[in-house]
Amino acid sequence: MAQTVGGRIREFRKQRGHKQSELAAFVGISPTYLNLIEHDKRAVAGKLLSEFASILQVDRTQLLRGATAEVIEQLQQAARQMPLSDNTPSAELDDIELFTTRFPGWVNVLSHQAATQKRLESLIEGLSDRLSHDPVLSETIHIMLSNITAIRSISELLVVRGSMDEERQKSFIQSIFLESKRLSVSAEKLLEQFEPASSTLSERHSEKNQPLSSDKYQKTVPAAPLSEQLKFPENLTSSQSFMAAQEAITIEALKKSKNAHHYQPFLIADYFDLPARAVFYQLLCLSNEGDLPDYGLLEVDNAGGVLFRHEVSTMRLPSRSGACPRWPVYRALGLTGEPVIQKLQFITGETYQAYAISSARKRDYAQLVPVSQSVMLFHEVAGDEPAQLATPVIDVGFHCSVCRHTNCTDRREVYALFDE
Amino acid sequence: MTVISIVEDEPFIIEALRYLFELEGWDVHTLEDGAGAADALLEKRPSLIVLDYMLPNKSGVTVAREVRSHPLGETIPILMLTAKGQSKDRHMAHLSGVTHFMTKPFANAELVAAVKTLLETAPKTD
Repeated sequence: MAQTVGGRIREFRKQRGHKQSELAAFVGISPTYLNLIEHDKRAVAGKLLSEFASILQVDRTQLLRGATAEVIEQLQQAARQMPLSDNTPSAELDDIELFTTRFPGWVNVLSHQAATQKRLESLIEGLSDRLSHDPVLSETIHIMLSNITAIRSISELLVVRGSMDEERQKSFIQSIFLESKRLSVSAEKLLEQFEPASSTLSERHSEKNQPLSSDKYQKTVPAAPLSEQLKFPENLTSSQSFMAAQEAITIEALKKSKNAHHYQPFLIADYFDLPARAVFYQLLCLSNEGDLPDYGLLEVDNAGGVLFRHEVSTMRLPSRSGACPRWPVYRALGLTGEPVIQKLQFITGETYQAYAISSARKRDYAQLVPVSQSVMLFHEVAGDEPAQLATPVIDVGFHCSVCRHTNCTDRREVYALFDE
Repeated sequence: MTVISIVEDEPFIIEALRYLFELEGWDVHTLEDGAGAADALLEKRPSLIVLDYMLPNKSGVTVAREVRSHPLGETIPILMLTAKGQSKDRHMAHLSGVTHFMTKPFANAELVAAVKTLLETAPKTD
């Protein structure tokens, strides 16, 4: 197939058995002009291109196909992203095909810029996501804002309330000094959060695991199944049990059998006679459908390293390792194959119902090293909702360094942000 | 006598607010820990509670919920101060019975004005 629009018109014309003069007459141009088009000496676009497509009985995109159609899509997308303004003219979308054929060099420049913009938007989105979900970062910012509040409030008193006695003034100035020292510490901790991270396996996983959350992107790309969007662990997607779970556990099947399991994940696994791990991932795929809640999932290896994570609402998950040791996903590691069900009460007010279970991941027979994995499925519940199956309600945090449960006996490090 | 309870774990914010409120002629009562705060507040029965969102051992949201669940705490205005200004946090505070929500950092005058408004509009009790 020819590489240019003119060349493809020529090919389709010959395939249909038309002479140049016949086709030219059909579309209302001279044979000479058609000859120039077919040899790419004249650009063709808009209504004329549609008429060629209609008479040659092909889709317009077949005439424009390949790189040209892709570039047109890119340009259209770039035009849609331009903010509307009364003072600046909008892109002439009707002439876009004419533009691409007549000015290929400029089109390349625009196309390159659009791709760069998309890449930068994706980068900003990742950073924004980190600001919202990283518990250490979030807590550090919280502390900094508290430091700033204290300094602002006290200094305002010193400036506005001029009649303050000398002793009080000295006390306030001392407080500002101490609080500004604390602010420096908080600022340094914040800076540490932005130091270049090492390229660990878990980090690569976490980056891959970010859902496609850009609205703009979702508008132009059909949504892939969640299992593909989130890049589930390979040892899951290639397993027969996960394939069986995908086939058997549908919303309809769950509805029909709900009296047997009441949507409790372990009972669902029991009912469908499938491993809980595969069932947990399949339920994640069905999040928010039918009567199912918005599920989140965390899977770790027996060193606590994150293999996969998918966050929901306010439940912040570690990107590499090191969450609260009280989380059932870690407890399950010591209870291979035993289901763990717990209601998690966070000091920040949120409550989650969590289900966890561990299983053998692989076994190195040469070195006799069993490696296991533990998976936790969870969803938010109302604080006053009774715990399921008389399971314990436990007080948990996100990470010891930012946890305000100062009396916690399972603490493995101090609450660093207030440590003077 | 107007009594303001401040539940806040940042000592210098307490220091500033205490001075600010005392200048207005209000009595100030302070607590620094979320644990046991609700009981202490219900015992004190202040005219208004200034409550931090993030507290050691129990969140301000939980404290607010506990205060509101008791008949003595149903009508006490609660002003929540927080560095967490996301809509989710506001929503959670509202559900817990918080009367007004103010994000840190704030201007002193803004805080005093909010407290005065809440005191004026609070339901009168015995």
